[in-house]
Amino acid sequence: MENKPFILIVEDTKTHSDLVIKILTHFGYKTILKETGKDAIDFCEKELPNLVLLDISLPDMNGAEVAAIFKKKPSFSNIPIIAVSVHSKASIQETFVCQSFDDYISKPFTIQELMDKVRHYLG
Amino acid sequence: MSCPFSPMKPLNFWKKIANNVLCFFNNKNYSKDKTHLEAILRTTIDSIITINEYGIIQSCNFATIKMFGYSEKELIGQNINILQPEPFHAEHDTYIKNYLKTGIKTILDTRRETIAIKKTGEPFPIDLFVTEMFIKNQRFFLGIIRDVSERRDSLLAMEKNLRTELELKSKDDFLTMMSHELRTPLHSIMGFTQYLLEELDGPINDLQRGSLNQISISGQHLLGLINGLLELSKIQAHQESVKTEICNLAAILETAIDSLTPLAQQKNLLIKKTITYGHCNIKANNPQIYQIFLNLLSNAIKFTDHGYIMVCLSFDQLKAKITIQDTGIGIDQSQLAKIFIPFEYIFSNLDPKGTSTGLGLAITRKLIEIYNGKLTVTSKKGEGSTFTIELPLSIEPAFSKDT
Repeated sequence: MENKPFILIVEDTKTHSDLVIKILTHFGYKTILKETGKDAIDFCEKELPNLVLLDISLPDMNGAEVAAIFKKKPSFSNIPIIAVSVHSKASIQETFVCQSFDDYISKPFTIQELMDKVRHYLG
Repeated sequence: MSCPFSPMKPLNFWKKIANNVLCFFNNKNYSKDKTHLEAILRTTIDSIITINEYGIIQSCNFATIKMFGYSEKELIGQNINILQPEPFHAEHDTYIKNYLKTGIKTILDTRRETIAIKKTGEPFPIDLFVTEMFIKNQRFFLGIIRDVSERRDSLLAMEKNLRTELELKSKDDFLTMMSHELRTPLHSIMGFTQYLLEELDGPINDLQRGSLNQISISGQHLLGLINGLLELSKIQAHQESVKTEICNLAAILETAIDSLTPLAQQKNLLIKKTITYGHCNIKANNPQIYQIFLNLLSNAIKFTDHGYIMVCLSFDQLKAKITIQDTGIGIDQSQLAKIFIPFEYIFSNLDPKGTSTGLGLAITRKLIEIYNGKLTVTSKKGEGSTFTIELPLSIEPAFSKDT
């Protein structure tokens, strides 16, 4: 029985997800990678993560749409979703924070910044 | 009531005028209505011309003279085709002959857009309505001509604006895409470098650390360049869509100073400030104003190793003046003009530490100019520089009370 918190990473840029997985694994988190919005939604039908890192520009869907679909599920109401984007903080703040995202982090982020966010939600 | 200039019912309008004129000629109370109808003909802005079966001009109103530049004398007795450019000029006689022969109305009783020509030889677009009338069993043709140059010009202007907008949009899309494509791999380069530097994969030695630091610094620099170039191109292309609000300059300046105070403290530099508070408001995009201050302040800190940075804000009813003075390395008189030109900074060796992108001051000046402001600099090599921003204040009252 594994008690490691489990993070769903939705990201289509391989080099970026590689790095995030490397960092999170190093700090003892279990991760799963989905590269499209649809795959992520399908996955969450079967299993629920403890946290979602969701890239806002995915090949098939907009990250905000994916987040909105997640948040409609009652089972998802307590699972935090962090928006990941290269857009400036200001533009993300305007567009997303008040919607389905719980938080945002903009690329490029430092290891410290990423871990601060993750620890804030997962302890 | 129908509006005579309504684009919706132009044909009816033409018919009405034509009817009026026909009535004028056919009416039995000719002399009674004469003055009235003459006044109509004289004052209407459309040209009204009658020709006979041979295309010879019989009469024209005052608008015709104004529109085409010929006198009445010059027109009466002439073939109507002198008002038409080629190919209509050569073919007009045929139009009439064909109609007289076949009775098929190809031009009559319809409104159409065509080209006419002035005495000066200048062609211009017209709306033309031609109808047929009989006076004492003699056939005449009545033409009503409206100059539509203005309408055409405004259409052309609209078209041009639309094209410019599309061009700007595609340029902007291209820049956004390009910068995204350039930044994505760069983020990975920097991320993995940091990962190694933090020894998450195991310890590294000092030589390796040195090399990784170089990668990191160069990556930062490249990122700064990409962001700067994108920003510089975007500032003007996209200014209309930037959100503006009433901003208090003093408040924004304070925020910028606060955010850079730690950086100044690292270098043991004091930031002195003399700020006049009050209604120094400008209608602007808050982040852009913040960036102006941040750029100039961080430059001052970057190029100063000893001494202080002095920030002053004062204003009158019309404009605010902000000076940022440092005791840094200064700029040689001969180089002063170059500092606002993209990359010139670097080529001219103005940045001995090589940490600038060479775009910061170009961006800052562009931002200030958007708000009709001015950025000037005075400097003495070895003693420091003073940058002065002048920004016209907004005359609109502040929407919220200043804090």
